[in-house]
Amino acid sequence: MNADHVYAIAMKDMKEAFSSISIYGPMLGIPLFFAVVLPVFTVYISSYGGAAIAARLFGTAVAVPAGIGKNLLFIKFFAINILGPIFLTMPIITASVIAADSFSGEKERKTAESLFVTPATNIELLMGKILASLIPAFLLTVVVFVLYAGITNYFTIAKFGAALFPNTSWYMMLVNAPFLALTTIGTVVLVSARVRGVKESQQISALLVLPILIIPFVSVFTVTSLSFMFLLYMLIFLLATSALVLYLSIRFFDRERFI
Amino acid sequence: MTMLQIHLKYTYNVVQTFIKTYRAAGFATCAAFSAVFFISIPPNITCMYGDVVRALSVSKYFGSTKALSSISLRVKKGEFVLLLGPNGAGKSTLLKLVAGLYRPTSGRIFVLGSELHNNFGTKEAEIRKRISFAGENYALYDHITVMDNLLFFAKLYDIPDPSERINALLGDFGIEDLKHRRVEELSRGTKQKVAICRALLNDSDILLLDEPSAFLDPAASELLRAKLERLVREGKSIIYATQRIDELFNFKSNILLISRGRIKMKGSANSILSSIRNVDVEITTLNSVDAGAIKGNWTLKKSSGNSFVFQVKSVSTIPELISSIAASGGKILSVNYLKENIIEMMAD
Repeated sequence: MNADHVYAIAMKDMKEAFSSISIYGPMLGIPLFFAVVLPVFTVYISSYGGAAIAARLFGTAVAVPAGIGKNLLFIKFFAINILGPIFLTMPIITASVIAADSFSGEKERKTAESLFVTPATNIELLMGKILASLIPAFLLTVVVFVLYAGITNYFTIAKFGAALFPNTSWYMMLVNAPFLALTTIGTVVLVSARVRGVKESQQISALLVLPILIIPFVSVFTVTSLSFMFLLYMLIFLLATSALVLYLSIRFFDRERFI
Repeated sequence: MTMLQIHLKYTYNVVQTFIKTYRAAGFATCAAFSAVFFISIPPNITCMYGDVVRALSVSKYFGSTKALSSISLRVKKGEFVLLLGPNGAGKSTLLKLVAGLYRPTSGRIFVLGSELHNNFGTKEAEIRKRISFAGENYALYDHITVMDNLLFFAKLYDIPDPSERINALLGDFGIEDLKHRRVEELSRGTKQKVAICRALLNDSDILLLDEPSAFLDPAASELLRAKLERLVREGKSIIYATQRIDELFNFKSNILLISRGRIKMKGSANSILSSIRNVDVEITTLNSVDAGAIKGNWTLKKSSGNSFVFQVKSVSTIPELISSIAASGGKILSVNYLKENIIEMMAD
């Protein structure tokens, strides 16, 4: 494998993606919402209604450790079990936007023929394009995680006397993020060859957020929570899934379907 | 005689008898194997005759739609092949098959002695470095600059220090000052020039060009023609697809007339044109001429002022017609054969 080819393809795709408002628009808008609007919302409801909601959620029987009010209990629950899964959709959404543009975009704009006639091998093409989607998706997720944690801590540290972030669950979510992105990218590669354009590819791959969005609901009903063990099982599952999806996407990659 | 010797002698006799009895069948079997061997034509044999491209009974279907039907093609080193045909004839499909972008539904294509595969290794990557392709869609990345586009492809072709070569090519086509402009900001003609520069970037042995002059201005078309002629003189092989009949005369080439996925005619421009029957020719003169009185292997179909439409029996008659008009005192301003009909006529 020629590393220069992989690097050239990845850089070209990233340069092209971030030169198009249809790509960088959602890439800036979604993080802005996740990193700024959500912490402010969290702080607001925890300050004004957190105790009441916590009482409803956990009932009066829940023992609140000394020194920690129900507001803090609520904000911890909200930040990890409700917002956590929402944050986990970040790598999926960003990866699907970039990967769909990278793969289906080549097909839609008919640029694939000039790329596929070059000496770049299938592995080089896929590696370059996967990196071009994975790197921005992961970096954006990290930036959003850090921003969210920083803003939430800033508003709550004086009130609760302790920093909420970082914590084990959030570290585990960060570890899960690249594998969520890889699974998404692999799905996009498989889907891109069979659809006509970028939008269809994005819509189909974005369906991957649905299983993630089930987590907040089951959390509310205390079926499960984003504990360390849950996230560890999730990581093992994602490792296997991303490996399988990437294997299939390489195995069944057919240039002719992109022409 | 030991038992072993008896057994060996017996076996020898059996084999001898078998050979004698089935000698004819043996020859037939050998002949069949040889035929299969030659039909399959391994890559080294395809190179023996200096063919850089060899297509053997290639057909291509898209679903149930037939795009190409049993096409065979040979292109030698330093040969210019012009694919001429109307829209949808299969010219682009044939070029994409040669470029390795499509797989044939049946038949085989050898390029520089190898078949191009979808999933290829190092050896084929080396062959692909020697092929250039400029499709009819420019296939440039719109959101990045001209320079970034060309640098990207230069990296994939492993061209060392490509900036100088890129600047020279852009300079040749008079677009060097546009190199930092995004492709989406360029006109169709300029995009086509950039696509041609990309195809010329890697100094390849085989150049596949699909309607490269479709949107070029006359000066750029002339420049392209001169460049391609020089490349052919240097030993490069070019397959050039066009639907413009006037391009027949632009290049000294072998012409393949393609229609409905089949090769209808092969030969030089003159041999192809002389086979056409009943062509309409529009002649305009500066002065008034009694066109009806000019007799020969043609008929006057229409006249309007100093403009006349003659139907000639064959294209080779046109010079005679022009001479006759001139001889009768007509000062000829322009001669146009009605090109749009010619390809359709040839394709029938």
